Amino acid sequence: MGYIALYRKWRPKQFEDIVGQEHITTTLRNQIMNNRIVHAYLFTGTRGTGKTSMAKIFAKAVNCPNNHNGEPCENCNICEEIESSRVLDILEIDAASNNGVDEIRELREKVKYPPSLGSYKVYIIDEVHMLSQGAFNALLKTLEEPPSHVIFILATTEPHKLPATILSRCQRFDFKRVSVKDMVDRMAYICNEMDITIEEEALELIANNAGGALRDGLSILDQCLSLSKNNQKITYEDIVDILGLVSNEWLYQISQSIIEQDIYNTMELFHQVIDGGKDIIQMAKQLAEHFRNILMAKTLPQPQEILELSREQIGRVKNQGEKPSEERLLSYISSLSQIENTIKYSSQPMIILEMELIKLCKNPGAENLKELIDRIETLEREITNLKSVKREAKIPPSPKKSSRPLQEESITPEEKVQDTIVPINKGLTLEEVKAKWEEILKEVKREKVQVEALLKEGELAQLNGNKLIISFDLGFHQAKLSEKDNIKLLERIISRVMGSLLIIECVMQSQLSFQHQEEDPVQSAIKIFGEDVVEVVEDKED
Amino acid sequence: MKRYNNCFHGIIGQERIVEGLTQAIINNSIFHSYIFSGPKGSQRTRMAYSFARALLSKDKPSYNDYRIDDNNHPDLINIFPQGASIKIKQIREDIIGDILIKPFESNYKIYIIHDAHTMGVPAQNTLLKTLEEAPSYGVIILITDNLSALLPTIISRSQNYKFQPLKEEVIENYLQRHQGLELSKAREISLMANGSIERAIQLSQGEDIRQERQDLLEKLLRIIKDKDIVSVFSTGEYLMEQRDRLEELLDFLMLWFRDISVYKELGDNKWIIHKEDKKLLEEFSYYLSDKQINDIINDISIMKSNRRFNINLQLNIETMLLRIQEE
Repeated sequence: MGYIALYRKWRPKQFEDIVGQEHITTTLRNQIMNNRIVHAYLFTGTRGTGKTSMAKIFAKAVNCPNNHNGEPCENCNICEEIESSRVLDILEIDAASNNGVDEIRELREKVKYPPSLGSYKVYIIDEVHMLSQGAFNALLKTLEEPPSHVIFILATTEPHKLPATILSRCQRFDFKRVSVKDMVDRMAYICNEMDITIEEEALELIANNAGGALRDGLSILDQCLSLSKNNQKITYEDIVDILGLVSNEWLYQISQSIIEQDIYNTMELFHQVIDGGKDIIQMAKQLAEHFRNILMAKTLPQPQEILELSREQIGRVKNQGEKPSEERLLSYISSLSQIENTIKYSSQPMIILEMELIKLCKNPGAENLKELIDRIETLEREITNLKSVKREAKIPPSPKKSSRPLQEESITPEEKVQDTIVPINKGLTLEEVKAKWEEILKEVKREKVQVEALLKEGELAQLNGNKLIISFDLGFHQAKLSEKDNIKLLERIISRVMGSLLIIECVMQSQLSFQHQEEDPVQSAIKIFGEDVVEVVEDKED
Repeated sequence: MKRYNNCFHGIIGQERIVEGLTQAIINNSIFHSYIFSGPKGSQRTRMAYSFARALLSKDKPSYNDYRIDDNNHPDLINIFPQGASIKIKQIREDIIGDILIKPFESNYKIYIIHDAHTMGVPAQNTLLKTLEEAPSYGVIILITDNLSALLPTIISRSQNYKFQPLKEEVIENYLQRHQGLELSKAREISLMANGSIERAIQLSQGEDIRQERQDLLEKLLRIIKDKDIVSVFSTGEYLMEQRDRLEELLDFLMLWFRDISVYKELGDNKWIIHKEDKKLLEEFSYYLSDKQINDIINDISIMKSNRRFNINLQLNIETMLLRIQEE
């Protein structure tokens, strides 16, 4: 009996004991020294950052007659009286349980009586966000113009719940989260004072898990103390045990087997710790964090500046990051942090994490999208190649010379010139172009859909040297496609696909028709029945 | 030391927590606020009572044991949800208003808040100050199965003990020793009990569950194999009839589909829970794709959490079954 929790026993008694809030302590001390105390303060910040403690110290300091540098002296009568909470001048009100209008009205009534001992009457209203709407409004007038001997200190974790009219009447101080280093220092000090031996790493681990709240840290420390037998030294492992954490070694192993996509090994490791009774939410959290470390070590030039790991560990993490791509690591992290939420509300957390691990092993997540597209493209190309091989086998190449006579007639003077400039045609035939036509259409479609639509209307008529003639039934199609931009685009694409420079010309079907008489019957058959009827060619052979 | 052990005598498993609490008593470092969080049936309540017994009986003979279990001890105050939740009024009257009165006959005054997650945010806020600065004899124990429903400011003020589901061997042992079951039956039930001793006892007294589950699986298999839309609805109806036991059946199905997934990846292995039904497992895993299995597990877990909100159960069940059927 009579045990007092560490965070109560070691509640700061002076401004300088408060950890990590120098910006506030300095201001408040200066206010006391210069006698510039205002009548209403608002202290906000997350849990365990020192709001209530600060309020109590401030109440003591303003009343202490012989304070030095703004600190209460701790020796005088008044300080002692306040410390043992025998004074009626300091009123600590729990707003969460006294949140009605009636309580505030009562407070208003009493405000006017002067302090009995010191020079100020201090009202500390804790958890002030829980006051009701009516209560806030009842407080407004008093808060704005209290008697000169009254100071209000409102403390809350949720300032956004306060009405703007309250906020504007107070001097607001935002409490920062306590940094790991500050917390370790404070806990080391307490342990030292209490003759507790504890490893430095153990303190760091506690601080990391306290989430910036000193009270959380001290609660964990307290739990360790109550477990320790006969004041033995408290080790890193003890803390790992109490927090239900998994060891670093395990993290390296399981992340490695996930990266290597080894499901069996992953399951083996997972069940090892499950049987050890570890906390599943923590496990998911730690694993996500580990992958984050890997990603950081992989991407940052100077990872040691960001990661709180030893040189040796960073090397190890970096090693792990060599194989997986950044995208893969990112997808690990995002799925693990998503699952963290699901786990919280699930009655079967084990199954959910287990399934997620299997999923991670099986598909390493979204690979680079561009990589995927490239892979699909090469596949497509190969398929079309296969098709064309098949077709060529079926169609005997038509005699080249048959198209010769056509050449002269359809060449305009302008093109003649071009002809002479780029005579690069590695002996392409019309059939080869036709075989690749589908692919060409697809490429064109990717660049400009309209052109593809037009092109579909046309028909491959002839290939004369490096000039490809496409014929059309309708003047509109021919004219549209003949536009300079479109022709250029076509030439570029077709030349690329065919691997040799070609010039495109669009003509009307009628312009060609009379030439057909002289043409190879096979060609004319194709003209008339369309490309699909290539089979006819075979028939002719028979 | 020995006497404290006696206090914790009835507790199954959770040795580490027993050890921790006993050590705290020996070190005389009793915290003013504890959270016992963990799934139902993981001995939280029993632990709280035992801890209370150890504290209250410190210097006195343990004759007052039965008064603790009967909720009849003057220095032990139990707070249960009134209806669906614990009301602010209860916190104010039963705890805040009461804690300043010194214990009647013991060194401690203990408050046990059952299902603490049913406290609303205002109720939890009301408790905050008292939780932080309780008088030295006051001990408040919060029991919950959903730690995330408590305010961080509450958790930060308390010592948190996380209860894991009991291991199968522990339940198996218990059933054999205290319920007089044969080994095979005890093992079977321990696998189905999901880490809860209460459910295990319930199961051991119930009908032939195995046969029933086998039937359910046969039905599901028919849906998968024959793509028979009619049996989707007849199975749905069957599940609706089992409404009272749905929670248990859903748990079972979740484990079953988890098994399929594991079986699919690794074949026969030591992590499969339903070892005795290998043939069925094989058949299921033949017909279902990875994505389907994942979706089904997701569906079940969503349905389980939705059940609290009075959703249209029938629709949910049918959606799940249709998912099983589709390809």
